[in-house]
Amino acid sequence: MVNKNDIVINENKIKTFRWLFYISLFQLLACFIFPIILFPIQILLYIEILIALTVGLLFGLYFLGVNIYGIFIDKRRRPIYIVIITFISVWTIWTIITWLYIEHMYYLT
Amino acid sequence: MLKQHPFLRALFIFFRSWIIAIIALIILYFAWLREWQMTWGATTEEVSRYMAGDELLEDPALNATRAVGIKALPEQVWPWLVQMGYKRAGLYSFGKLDNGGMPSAERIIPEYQNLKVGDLILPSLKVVEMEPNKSMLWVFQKGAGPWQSATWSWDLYKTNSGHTRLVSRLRQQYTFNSLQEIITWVIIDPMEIFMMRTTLLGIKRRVESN
Repeated sequence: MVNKNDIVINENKIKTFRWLFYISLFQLLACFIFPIILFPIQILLYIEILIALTVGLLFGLYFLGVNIYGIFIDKRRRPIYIVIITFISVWTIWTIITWLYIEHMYYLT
Repeated sequence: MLKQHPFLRALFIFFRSWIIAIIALIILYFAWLREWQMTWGATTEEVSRYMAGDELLEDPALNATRAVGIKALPEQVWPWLVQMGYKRAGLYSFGKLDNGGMPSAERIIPEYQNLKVGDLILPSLKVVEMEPNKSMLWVFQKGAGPWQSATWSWDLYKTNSGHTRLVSRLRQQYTFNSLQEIITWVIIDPMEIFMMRTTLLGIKRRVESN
């Protein structure tokens, strides 16, 4: 028999998790939006790529962790988390390959 | 009571997990990553060997010796080194950032081959010593911001197989006179390897493909 109190605790957990999801999504987007204010348009794309290869990935990996946690805690939105996990995994692989063969990445060097 | 609100609880978890992650990253960096990145590609002998400019800074906080093997003679690598510089051939790293928006050169440029002691590589980076095809020392000058008085030296060694070991050593004593300097070093210490590794591999690719 499911206790009513357990359902309330579970709902609270999901609400807390969703806030955590939005905060870490905001953090990730902010690190890409912030350079728009700081850098001229001519080198903006270049800066964004470098961010994606360094600190952006760090925030991305944090967001990945949040989404993995989401799969277990928030079953209703599971498909969204799976898509995000797939995207960040591809991003991570792209970053590793780019750093391994950086001298051949003509768009950067 | 406040922590019962889902948003505040999420914020608490967010900051707590970041603090744990940052502590873990700092431990990982100083326990293993820093030493690995400060000696990337270099042998123990190359790390301990004297290089020009070592006597200028005693016990620097940043002492990074990196090296790469190039399938060419030192004489073939040298022209690529002497043409390096801002608004010259670039630094062979992230062209748009270190060369005024222009990509680094993909060929040997004759007009930049007559580098001599006293010339500037960057607006505040001066050539102090050079021995053609063997070594070169660059010293950062006053006005270089946090890099003031740092040294950057290059050595080229011919290996038994007729190839070249290109060794780069960057040395700098950190100063913590302002919050800006502290932030600068916190960023530079772990990030500078990205540029230096790209420079060394950029030279290797250019020499070997030409």
